Amino acid sequence: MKHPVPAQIALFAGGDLGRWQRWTMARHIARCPACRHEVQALREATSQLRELTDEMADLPNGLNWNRLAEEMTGNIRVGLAAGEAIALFDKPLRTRSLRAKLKLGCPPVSWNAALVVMGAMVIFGIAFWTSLPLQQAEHLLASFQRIRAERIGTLIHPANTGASAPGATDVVLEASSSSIQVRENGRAMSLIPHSDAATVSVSMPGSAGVRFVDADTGQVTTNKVYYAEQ
Amino acid sequence: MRSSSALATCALFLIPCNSVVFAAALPKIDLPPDSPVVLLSADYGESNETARGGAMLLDFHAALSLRNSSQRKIRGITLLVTAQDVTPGGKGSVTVTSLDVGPQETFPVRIDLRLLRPLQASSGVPVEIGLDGVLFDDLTFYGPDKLSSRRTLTLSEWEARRDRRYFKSVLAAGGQEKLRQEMLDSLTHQADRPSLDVEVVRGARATSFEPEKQVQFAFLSLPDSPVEPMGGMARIAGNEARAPRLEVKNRSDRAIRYLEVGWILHDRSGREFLAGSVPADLNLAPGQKSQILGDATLKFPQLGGQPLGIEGMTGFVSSVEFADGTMWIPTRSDMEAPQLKRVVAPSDEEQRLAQIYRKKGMKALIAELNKF
Repeated sequence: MKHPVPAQIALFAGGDLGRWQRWTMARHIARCPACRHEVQALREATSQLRELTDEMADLPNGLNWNRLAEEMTGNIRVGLAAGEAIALFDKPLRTRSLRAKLKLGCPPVSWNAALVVMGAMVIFGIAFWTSLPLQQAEHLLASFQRIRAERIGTLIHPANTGASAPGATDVVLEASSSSIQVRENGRAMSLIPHSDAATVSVSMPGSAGVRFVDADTGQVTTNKVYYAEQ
Repeated sequence: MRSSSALATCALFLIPCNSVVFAAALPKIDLPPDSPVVLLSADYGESNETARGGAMLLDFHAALSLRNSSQRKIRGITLLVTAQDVTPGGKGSVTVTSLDVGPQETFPVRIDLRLLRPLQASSGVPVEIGLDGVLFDDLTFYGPDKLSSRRTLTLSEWEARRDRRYFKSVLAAGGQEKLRQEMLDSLTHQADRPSLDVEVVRGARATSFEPEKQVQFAFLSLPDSPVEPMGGMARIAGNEARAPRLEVKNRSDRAIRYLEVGWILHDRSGREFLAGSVPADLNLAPGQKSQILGDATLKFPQLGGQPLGIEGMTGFVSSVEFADGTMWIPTRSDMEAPQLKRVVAPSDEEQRLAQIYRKKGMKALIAELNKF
């Protein structure tokens, strides 16, 4: 029996193989105790490492490094794809000039060749989609939907010139009853945790502060954080 | 490299990573040679730095012991704490007000901040602490004043003097019982004051897709104010207020170089909150009018789990700085106006005095008032 290479086993254990490879690998593993044992060991180690990293790092609630890594990979793909899609979306229609060009004796279009190219593109697209790991495919789909929703939102509300989706790319200072946070790209980091007894103040140019009477010294202390330009 | 596989591979090595106590590179404390304060000791306790995505998060704790090396009493101090000057969230400050530190006396300053800096700058000194300013009891100031500390500290000292004078007059007129009642009222007010989560988004552009409307400001009339608000409006969309535009007139006989307008919001159910302040550096001659433009957006995520619907706004002049450096602040009777009293926090000094009363009792409070 021919065993898969260790890298393939690791990808399978992490759920990172495409559909076809996953299916063939699953068939092999069902018949091969050695590989099955290897996959089981890798999955246990992954789970232990997740627990360990959660304990080691003082992560904000809900922050998952594994998820972050997936999002980063997905965002690179989405960025490239979205750039091309938006560039096409923003281009003015050129139907009339194309017709004119055809009439002016441009090389005749071979419809057969065009059909072959289109067919090849469809096959390539399906192959790409099915080879993509499930989580990344879902992430890619969700990202496209988000981009579409944002663009439609801008078109529906032209009065809001320059409107953007909340939390998309803005750097935000957030003063809440429990902390002052800086938030960028939708992720928040707590800068000044404080108690309910503190007085929070926000100034329009972009600073936020917390004032409290220090329990030990009795001093009135104000901690502030600023935007970069101040 | 695919993430889960990377995790599986890393699991074989179990590499400890992430959080590091920055003992290797201690924070740099930079006080000028002629500084009126001298550093006696510094303890950095549990300070550490942690990699978070593309940035390092510095959880910085310091207990500094400083000595007043000048010949005057110190009333307030601001320290600038910098992890990275150009990173949002990379710069913070710690201000201590209502001090009474005589020459050669020592006083503590505690710093508890979290700051961000890029991963690339992870070598070298993690945090720099500098002096931004010191205010003395004669209202003179020392320091580079990069954070407008002179104004902040002076304003706080003016409020402190106003409130100490007020509580002394209460004691003189109504005795300990009246002063006790004032302190209890203050503590109740501090506990009951409505608070609101606020997000400040730099740049006055809309981030909400709800229809936008222009809402006019109503203004609280403060009879002694040297500035008269003539009118104003802001753009409101859902739970978001942006681009406030105010017109003000200098009705005093002195030139004004700075003023600050407090901003109170009303929601659909009639509740009121102090949303923030709109400061403005300007040069306003006597009798002259000017416009103040805010360039940020304030968002109010929710209130008790429900989105906040903004229905109206009220503005009030909260402080004015004249060209000669003197300041105007609302009087105690101005602050007693029901709308202001409900939403505006007591001054630094009032909070400090109320805490002295709460922790040490009436005798300690009277002794504290008599020190000034």
